Amino acid sequence: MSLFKKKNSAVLERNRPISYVMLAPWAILFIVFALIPIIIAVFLSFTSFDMLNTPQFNGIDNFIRMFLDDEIFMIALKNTLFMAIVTGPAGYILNFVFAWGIAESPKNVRTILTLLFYAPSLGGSILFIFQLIFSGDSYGLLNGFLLEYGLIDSPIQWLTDKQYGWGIIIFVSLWMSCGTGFLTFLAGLQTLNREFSEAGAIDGIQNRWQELFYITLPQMRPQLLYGAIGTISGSFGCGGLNAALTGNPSTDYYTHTLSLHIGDHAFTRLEMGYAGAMCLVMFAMMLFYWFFVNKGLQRWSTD
Amino acid sequence: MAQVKGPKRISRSRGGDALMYFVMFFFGIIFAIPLYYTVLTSFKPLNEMSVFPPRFYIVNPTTENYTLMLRLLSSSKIPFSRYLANTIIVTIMGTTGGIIIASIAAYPLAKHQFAGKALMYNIIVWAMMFRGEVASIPSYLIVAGLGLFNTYWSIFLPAWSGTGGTFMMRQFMEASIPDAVVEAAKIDGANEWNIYWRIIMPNVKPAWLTLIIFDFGAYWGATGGSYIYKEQIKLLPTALGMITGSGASRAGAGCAVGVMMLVPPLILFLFSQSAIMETMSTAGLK
Repeated sequence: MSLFKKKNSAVLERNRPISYVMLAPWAILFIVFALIPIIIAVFLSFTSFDMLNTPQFNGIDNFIRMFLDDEIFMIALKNTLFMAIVTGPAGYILNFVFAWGIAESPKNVRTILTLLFYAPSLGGSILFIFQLIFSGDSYGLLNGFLLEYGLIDSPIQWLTDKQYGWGIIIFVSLWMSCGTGFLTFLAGLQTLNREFSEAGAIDGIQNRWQELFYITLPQMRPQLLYGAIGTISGSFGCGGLNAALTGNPSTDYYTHTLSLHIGDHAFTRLEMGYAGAMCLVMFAMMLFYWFFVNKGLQRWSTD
Repeated sequence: MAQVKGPKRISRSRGGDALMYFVMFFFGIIFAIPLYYTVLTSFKPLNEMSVFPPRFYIVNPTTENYTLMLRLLSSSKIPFSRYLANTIIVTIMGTTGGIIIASIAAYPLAKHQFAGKALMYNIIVWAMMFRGEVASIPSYLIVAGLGLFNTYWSIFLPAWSGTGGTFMMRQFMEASIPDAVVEAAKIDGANEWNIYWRIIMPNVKPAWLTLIIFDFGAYWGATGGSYIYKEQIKLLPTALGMITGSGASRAGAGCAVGVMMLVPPLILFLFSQSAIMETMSTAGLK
């Protein structure tokens, strides 16, 4: 499939000032408002800092404390990895399936389907509807329904019972997952080069599944990478939803995540050094994960 | 098959169609239920709110939740229209500025060769993976140091510095514009700004239309957080948050707020989506 290697960069001139001029407005903002704060945060990881006194260098104490002396960190780590390894990829695949399904659908239903899948991702302001649906008393929508049909005898504490909380979080996070990744895939499917499909048809590609794997997905690599980064940072950074649904902290910290733990130490306990160290550990895990995802997507889509 | 006129098509089997429609329909229903229930609750009169068993329909639909919402808002210190105007200004300026800055930077990252390009790409990817909690404190100090408190620059500048838009635009330029097209334009005497505006941007229209949707949604929901505390320039979600924060007793008004926050981004979304679909049928670089 050398069809997609249309690089001929030797012809392009190199190192012209115009490249840097065009990059500058964004790059300057990025350095001032994003990169410098990140560098400071990395530096703080090796200190003890309460935001009032000057940071005290303490070597790797923060990291030792994290892994040997913080049980809640371990719960948060386990939950976060679960979200990153199971829920994140599930959402990612669903996003692509929905986007592809919409692109394959007849024109008149495309817009309504897109709207339907996309709307929940804007649903931050209607999250409390799940408090009504999963409410622990018998007026809750789900409890009321189950009681009415005699499927349960007494209302279930959906959000505080450890048995159910996670299922609801996963459901709602999948419900809200069709945001940036989904729209990017959809837009990507619409900028595909149609000539490849026509050439593919002549070369013997017979049905939509073959077209998907041999023509569509290889062309979508840049968008798939973009979606993957979003998914990784979103699923490692999960926690807002957990807090909104099951409370923060939840019963016995059972839905606690790294992001919530970092927020707790940074803003409630004012242990910026320790929180910074957790950010750094999380960053390392994401990079590690990204390394494999990138390798996988690269190998699979350019053969 | 050889006698088929025009471009050859890849076949679509009936079975495949059926499977796909089933999947889309099934998930579509599941996705719709919470949305439906929100809209429904926003039109429910108080005496139907706590009926047992809960109803999936309304006997006497009412707009009293919306009037309650407006009444709650109009009793605030600053008129409701002011919050709304503030949010509209922030949304339009933020979205426009952000997309221009991101796409101008994305062009050289996708199509030029220069020292530091690979490093820049990697830094962008890494930065997307660093969680902001701890970086938010230095970032807060920088915003304070530049004297941006109580100005909308405290919302714009950190948002425009984000990597998401730049990275997305770069990925689309890389995917959908062959180098040969850029070179041909250069040979024809176009300068870089012309190439950016007349060749690159029209050909990644779905990308920036999509980015408009993301940005609009983000700015529309922006609260200004800890940077804006002067009442006159506070934003709509801050005002509305006071209503949704009051819990089940005002579930109806809360749902009305939710619907009101959802509708404008969705209307914009419909417009831009139909523009994207339109491009789809006509686009394609030769």
